[in-house]
Amino acid sequence: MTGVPAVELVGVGRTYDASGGPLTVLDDVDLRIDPGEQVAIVGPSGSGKSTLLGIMGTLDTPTRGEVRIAGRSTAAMDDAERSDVRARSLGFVFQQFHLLTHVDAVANVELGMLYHGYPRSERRRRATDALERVGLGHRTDHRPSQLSGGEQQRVAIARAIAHGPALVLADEPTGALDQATGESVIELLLGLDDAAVAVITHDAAIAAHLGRQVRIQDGRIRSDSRTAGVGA
Amino acid sequence: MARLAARDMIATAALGPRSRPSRSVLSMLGIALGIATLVAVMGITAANETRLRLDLEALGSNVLQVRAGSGPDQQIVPLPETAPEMIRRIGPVEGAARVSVLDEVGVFRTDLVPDSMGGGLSAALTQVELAAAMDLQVAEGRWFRDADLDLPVTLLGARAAEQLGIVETGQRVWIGDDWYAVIGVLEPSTLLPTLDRTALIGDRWPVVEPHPEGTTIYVRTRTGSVDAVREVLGATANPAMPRAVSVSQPSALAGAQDAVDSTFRSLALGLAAVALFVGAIGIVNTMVIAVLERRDEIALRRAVGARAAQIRTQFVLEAGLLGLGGGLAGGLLGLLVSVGYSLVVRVPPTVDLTALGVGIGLSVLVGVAAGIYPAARAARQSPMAGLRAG
Ligand SMILES: Nc1ncnc2c1ncn2[C@@H]1O[C@H](COP(=O)(O)OP(=O)(O)OP(=O)(O)O)[C@@H](O)[C@H]1O
Ligand SMILES: [Mg+2]
Repeated sequence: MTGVPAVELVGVGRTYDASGGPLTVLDDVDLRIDPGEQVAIVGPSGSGKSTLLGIMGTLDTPTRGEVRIAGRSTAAMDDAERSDVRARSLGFVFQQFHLLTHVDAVANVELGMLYHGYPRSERRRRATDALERVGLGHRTDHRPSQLSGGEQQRVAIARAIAHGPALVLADEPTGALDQATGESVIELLLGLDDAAVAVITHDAAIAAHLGRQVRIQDGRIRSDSRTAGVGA
Repeated sequence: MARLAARDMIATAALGPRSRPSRSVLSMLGIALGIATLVAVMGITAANETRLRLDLEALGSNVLQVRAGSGPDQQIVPLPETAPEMIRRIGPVEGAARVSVLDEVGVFRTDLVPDSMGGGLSAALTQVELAAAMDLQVAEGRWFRDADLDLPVTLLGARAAEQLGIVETGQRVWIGDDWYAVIGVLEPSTLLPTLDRTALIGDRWPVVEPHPEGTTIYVRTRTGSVDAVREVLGATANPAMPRAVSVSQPSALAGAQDAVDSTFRSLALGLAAVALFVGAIGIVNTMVIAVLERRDEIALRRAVGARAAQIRTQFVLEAGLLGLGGGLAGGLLGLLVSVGYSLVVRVPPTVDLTALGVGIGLSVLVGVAAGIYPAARAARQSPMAGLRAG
C-alpha cells in the first residue's frame, strides 16, 4: 500500500459498438494492484475478465475512466508509447501459449524482448537465464512441438518475465492444462519474481493460491478480498 | 529505444518465408519469370549486336569507302571520273567500285504510278567490279557483265524485288522514265544494307547525272593493308585535291540495328512487365493469407511491445524479401539464358550487371509495393486478438 501502484484503474468502462446497439462490457471499475501483489481475477464467462486484463495491459483502451501504469496515465499515449510500455514493463501469458512453432524455446523467449531495445547478446543471456528459472535450462533448443503443454506454458512464462516486468498479466494460463500441471505452472508463476501478477482463472483452487481475489460479474467488480474487510 | 536493429528487422521478416518455404517459392515465381525475361532479353539483344558487329568486322575490316569531300571553299569537290580505275592500281587493293545513288529517280512496277509515290526504293548507278569488291551474292539471275552497262537492265535488292513483285528475271520495272529488264536479284548484304531497297543500273547507261554527294567508291584491300591503302587513297582518287577526299571504314559504323530485333525486344519487355504484375498479385495473395494465418503471431508481437508501425514494416519487408528472392532466381535464370544464347551465336558471353541490378532492384520494389496492403491489414489488427483467440 506504499509507493506507486503497479497498475491503477479509476472509473474504467468499456462499451463496444455492437451491431445490436452499444454493448457495455465493463462499467465503473476501480482497481489498484500494488508492486509484488498477486491477484486472481475470477468470474463467469463473458463477465469482462479478458477485457479488463487487456485494458490493464494497454492492449485495449477504455471508453471511460483512467488507467495508470507505474503512475503514468495511458490516456494521452499513442500506439508507439503504449507498445513501449508493454515492451518494458509488462509481461503476458496466454491460455494458448502463443509460441512460434518454427523456432526453438530460447528464440521464443528472446522474441519477448525483441521490441525492448536490448542488444542481441543481452536477449540471449536473459532468455537462457529465464529458461533456467522455469526449469527448462536443458531444453533451450527444443521446438514447441517437442515440449509438453506444461513445458510450453513454462516457456511462455519465461518469455513473460525475462525482461523483468513490473506486472505480469495471465489470461487463464492453466486453461489448456490438466489440474496437476496447472497447479505446478501457477506455483512457478507465483514463485518466480517480485513482479505484481494478475491471473484470470476459472479454477477456485488456483485462485486460492493467490493472495487476493477479485470477482467480476456483468462488467463490474462484485467483490475484492483486499477491500472486503474494510467494507467498501 | 524500441527501434529494431536492421539485422533484427530482416531476421524477423525472414521468419515467415522460412517457415513456409514451398509457398514462398511459389509466390516468387511470377517475379522470377519477369526478371528472367528482362535479363534474358537484354542479354540476347546485346549478343545480337555483338554478333552483327563481329560479322561486319569479319566481312569489312578491309573495306574502305571513299566519298567526295569539301575543298578549301567548303564546296563539295566531285571525285574524278577516273578515280575507281586509279584506286584499282594501288598494289594491295583487291577491288574497287563506284556506287552513285540517284535520289530523284523512282523505281516502280509500272509506268502508271504517279511520281509522288516513291515507295521507298531508290536507284543507283554502279560498276561491274562492285560484286567482287563487296562480296555481293546474287540470289536470282546474274550479276552485270561489261556489255550490260550501257543497256536498260537492272539488278534489284531483295526487298526491292519483293516490294515490286518481281518473281523472275526478264520482268520489267519502271525506273525514272524508262523500262528496265531485271537481270538478277541480290542477296541481302551485311556491309551494304541499303542495297536491299535499291535498283542497280550500269553506270554507262544515261539516266541522270548523279550528285557528287551520292557517290561512294568501295575499296577492298588485302588483309593487313588497310592503313597503308588509307594513307594514299586521297592522293590517288583525286591527285589535284587530295584533301577534298573523305575516306572512312564502314565496319566502324556498326549501327545497322535490325528492326526485327527491336520488335522482339519490346514484345519481350511487355511480357516481362505482365509477368512482374502477375508476380506482384501473387505476392499480395500470399501475404494476405499469411496475415490471416498469423493472427496469433501478430497478437503476440503486439503484446510483447511491437508497435503497429513495426508490424507493418515486418510484413512490407517480408514481401520485399519475396521479391528479392524472385529477383535473384530470375536474374540467375536470365543470365543462364543469355550466356547460352551467346554460346549459340558464338559471341563471348558477357554479364550485363546494370540489367541484373535494375532487374533485382525492380523485383524488390515490386515486392515491397505488393506488401503494402497486406501489411496495413496486419498493422490494423486489434492487439486484443491474443486474448480473444484463447
Ligand atoms: N469486439 C467486441 N465487440 C463486441 N463485444 C465484444 C467484443 N469483444 C468482447 N465482447 C464482449 O464482451 C464481453 C466480455 O468479454 P470478455 O472476453 O472480456 O469475457 P471473459 O470474462 O474473458 O469471458 P471468458 O471467461 O469466456 O474468457 C463478452 O460478452 C463479449 O462477447
Ligand atoms: Mg476471457
